[in-house]
Amino acid sequence: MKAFLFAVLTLLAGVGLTVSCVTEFQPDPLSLPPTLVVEGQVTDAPGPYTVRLTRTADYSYKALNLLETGATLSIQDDAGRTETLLEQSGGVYVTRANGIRGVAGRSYKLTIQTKDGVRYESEPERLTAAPPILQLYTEYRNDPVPGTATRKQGWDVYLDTKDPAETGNYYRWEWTHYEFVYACQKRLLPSGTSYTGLGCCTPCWDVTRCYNCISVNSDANINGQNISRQYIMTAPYTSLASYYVEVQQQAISKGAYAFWKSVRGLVSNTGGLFDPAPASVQGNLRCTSDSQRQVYGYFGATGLSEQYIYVDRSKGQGQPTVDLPVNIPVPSACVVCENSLYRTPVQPRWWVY
Amino acid sequence: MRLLYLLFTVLFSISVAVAQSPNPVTYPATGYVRDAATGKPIQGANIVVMNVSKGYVTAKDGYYVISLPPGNYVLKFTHVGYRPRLDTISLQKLLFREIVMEDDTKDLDEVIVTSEAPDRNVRKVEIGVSQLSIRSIRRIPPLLGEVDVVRSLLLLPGVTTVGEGAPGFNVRGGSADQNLVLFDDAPVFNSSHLLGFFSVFNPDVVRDVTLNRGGVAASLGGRASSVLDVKIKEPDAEKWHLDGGVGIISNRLGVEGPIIKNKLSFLAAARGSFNDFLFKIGPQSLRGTRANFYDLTTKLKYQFSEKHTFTLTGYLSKDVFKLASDSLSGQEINASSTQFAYQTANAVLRWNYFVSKQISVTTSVILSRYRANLTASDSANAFDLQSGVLHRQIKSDLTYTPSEKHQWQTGLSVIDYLVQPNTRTPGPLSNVLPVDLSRERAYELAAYVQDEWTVSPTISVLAGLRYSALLNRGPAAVRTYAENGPVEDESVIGTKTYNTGTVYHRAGGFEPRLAVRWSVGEGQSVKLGYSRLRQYIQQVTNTTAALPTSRWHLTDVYTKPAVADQLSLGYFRNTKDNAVELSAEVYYKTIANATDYRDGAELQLAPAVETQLVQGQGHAYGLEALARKNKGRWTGFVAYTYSRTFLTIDSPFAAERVNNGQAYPANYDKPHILNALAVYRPTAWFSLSLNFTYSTGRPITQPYARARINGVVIPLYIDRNQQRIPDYHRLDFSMTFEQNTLTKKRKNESSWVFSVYNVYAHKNAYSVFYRLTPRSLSDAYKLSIFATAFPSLTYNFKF
Repeated sequence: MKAFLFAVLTLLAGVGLTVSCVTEFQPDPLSLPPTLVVEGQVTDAPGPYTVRLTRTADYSYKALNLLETGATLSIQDDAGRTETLLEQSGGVYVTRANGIRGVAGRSYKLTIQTKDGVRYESEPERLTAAPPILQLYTEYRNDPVPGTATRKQGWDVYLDTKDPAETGNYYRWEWTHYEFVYACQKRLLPSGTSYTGLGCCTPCWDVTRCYNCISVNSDANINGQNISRQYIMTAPYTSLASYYVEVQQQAISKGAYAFWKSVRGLVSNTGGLFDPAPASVQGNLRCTSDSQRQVYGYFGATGLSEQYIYVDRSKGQGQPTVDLPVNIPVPSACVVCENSLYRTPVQPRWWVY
Repeated sequence: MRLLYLLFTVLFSISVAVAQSPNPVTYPATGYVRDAATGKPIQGANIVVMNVSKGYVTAKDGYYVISLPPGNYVLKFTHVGYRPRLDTISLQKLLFREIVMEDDTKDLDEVIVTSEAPDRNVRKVEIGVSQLSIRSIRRIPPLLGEVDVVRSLLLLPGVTTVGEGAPGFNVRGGSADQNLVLFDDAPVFNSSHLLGFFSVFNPDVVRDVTLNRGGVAASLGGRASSVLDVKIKEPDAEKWHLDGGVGIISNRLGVEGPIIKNKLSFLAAARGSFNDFLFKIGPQSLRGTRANFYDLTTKLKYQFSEKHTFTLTGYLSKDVFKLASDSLSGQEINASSTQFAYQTANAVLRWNYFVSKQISVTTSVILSRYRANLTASDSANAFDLQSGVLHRQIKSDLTYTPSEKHQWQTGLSVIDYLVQPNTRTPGPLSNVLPVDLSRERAYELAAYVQDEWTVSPTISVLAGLRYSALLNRGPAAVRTYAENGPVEDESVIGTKTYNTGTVYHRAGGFEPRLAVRWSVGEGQSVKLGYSRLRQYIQQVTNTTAALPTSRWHLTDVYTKPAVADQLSLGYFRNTKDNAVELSAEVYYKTIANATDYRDGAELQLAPAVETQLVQGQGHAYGLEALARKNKGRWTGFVAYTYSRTFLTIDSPFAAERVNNGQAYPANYDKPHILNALAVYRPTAWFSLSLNFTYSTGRPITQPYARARINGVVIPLYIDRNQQRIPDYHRLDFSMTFEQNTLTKKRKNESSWVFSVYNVYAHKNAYSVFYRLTPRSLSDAYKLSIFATAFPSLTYNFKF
């Protein structure tokens, strides 16, 4: 929408005149008692599966979402199997490594009892297998940056897949980029022209994802046909080396699709005249001990199919925008590559270089 | 139905009975009195027959009939705002004259805003009716030089908008689709160009604009809130003219004149914006953008005889804009660019028949078609999504004035609607599936009768009764839903199909209208009005302002017609020889079956739109106060409005409740509005206008809390429209230099208009959005679209 407004205003005002602007605005604060938020899913890939429990916070940059510790969680399937989750760290609950595994066609639900004895339950979710990713491909783009003499280059990654003949298939796509790192710790030198750092003790990869990019689709428009040119992400021109991306195609339920779609709507909503007015997000959990008590979030059952692509960046124009070099003094100590959301010592599935 | 036949019989028998009453002794001297510049009929002009000292007044259409014995007479025509005129006649048989009166603007006594007689606001019976002449609309400082009919309405008390650049307007708590917008009797389904920045009416052809926001006459109906009647001027029957203008946004060119002098005259005016080459030299991100519009208005008038007049009006308007993203399309299809196109095509054939001096009949055939397209052109995902409305109407109105105390009016109308909700056509290589939602078809029938009755010199009554009905007809497939549950796709238990032409659903009812005027003293009156309006067609949208591609929907088995009841009371006072006008009106209004959408509604391709909508009760109330100075070098007005609008949508089922069944403010609920206009005209060739506007910010929904799921921070919303964006205020300024208005033998006229919109460059909020970023210590942001002062220069000419 904003693009159109800017377009019209450019037409209206002629070139080079800045007319619209975005300024900070501090609304009167509103408050709610902290409410439980659940996130987690069972997939048809091997476990362990993770469920995170947090509490809501005021909508402010000052507030923090606190973790919900000490709860008892279990996952049940429609064949009567139950598995109790263990609290791995504060608010993070996991299944056993050789425990329950999702199977297409089965339904799964989550029950929660918090420390203070309040019980919650999710609606049973049926797991659907995901069709394979037919192809991943890229398209080069090179656009000038408005208002500057520089240009922005990149490679758009697209996906093609074939939707099964039956209706009611819903998809979500997520991508993960892995980049090999030599220095597990680095510090900018006072000169500002390079880093000094310490090497990793084991092979190590930085992990990049986009959490706010919620990419969902349904087969309502294309049932049984190819889903083509589904945009996944744009690989930046930060090196001449190939860019490794894993793409995950998720088959989700109708409820999960509606949930993520409304989340996307809320995240991208600019409150404009042509934006749908914001609505509350409908999750699939409810409080069984007090029907008036709210609970947010979604516990899903998801079919997965994965594919990878190495984006060839050797055809980029000019020099890539590279980060400053890292000098590792020799000899020096090494730093352990910690497994986290942002870094991993585990070699990515299709890594070849 | 039976009532319709009854009314028609009554109507017909009156016309026969009166047409036969003879008047053998005298001859009628008849004619029209018109404004010399615009051709607009002058109502209420006084005619004195000098030799016999008899007085008459012209009727609504400027028509007069004076029955006199044969002989020579001098008639004197006078009307406030015009120079008096004498006409010498020799009456030997029926005599028809066209009298033109020149306005007295050169005398610097200008009547602004209203083009009616200056004391008409006190004298007339109707309440809540405002008329703006195009002359006064031109005095309002324009946005970017575009004289805009709809934008000027926003200065009137009781009229609001959800934002700058929003399509449509809101009248006394009604939504934008509750306004019936008529352009020479043809309904206009989208009154905006470029989404909502400009209105579709070319100011060069507009004669005047009447907004009925309170007392809608029984002859009008079909929408629940108001009637905006935009009239096209009569083509000049004497000489040819060429006029036009050059501006930043659009260029205009018009031609009018007689094909056969005083018999057949013609008018055509085109307006277009072709300035989007600016995008090509703009930033790269805008280079794929196109935004253009044009409109063409034509009118042909044939004065067959003094009794028969035929007019044929044609109107065509088209907007095309192409965006580099699909942010507005609402379709879950991957597309690199989206093109929006929408067009209106209208045609009206009207026949005025003056049967006798007491009876006149106007019959019109009206065609109006609105069509909107949304197109994506990427080959694998190419599609074209089309929606539209076709409105075909025949109506006939009969006016009967048996005496000075009564003016009866009665009429019939039949509308045939064809609504195309949405049709999606894939491109030749596209994977997109075709969708063709079934058409909605219905007849809307209406009949009315009304009388304007002068009970006594101090009391007048305008009473009317209208009956309207909607008959939905096949082919149609109507779903049946399980009882004791919400109306959802999941609760369908069956589908009934109906053949072509079968009437499968009816809705209808009476619409009483009443207005009473009581003159409480010299130049003072108290008025009371009551009206009920029923609406059978609506635009369905889940955005704050409706997109031009939003589909229309007819009342049917599941969607009930909106019914608005309004009671209003006003006090009107003119002082200092009508130089100063004061008025205050209060109103209370309820709207039954007000429509809103469910949380998360998907409207575009819903095969049964009732599963996405909810209906409830709306109520609105307000106070409108106006002070106006009509004469002197300084003229202008100050208008203040206090108004509130609430909706309550409750249901036994949670899915059909909005805001948990509690009342919430409508999107356009803006309690305080202050508008002021001042025009300074020291000489005939120069004028200066200032316009100030202030309003409370529109309601928005603010998040109460946030949750973090999969790394995404999600705002949590609970109740609709409980907070507001910051208040809005703005000052505009314009200067007009007119050339050659003082020269007696003027042939060419031209004018330069320089205007500045938002003089003190206030950053008014267009929208407020909530976003947490690590770079900022703020929870929300304000987007201002006209964040600076906008100067513009326009050149207008007339040859």
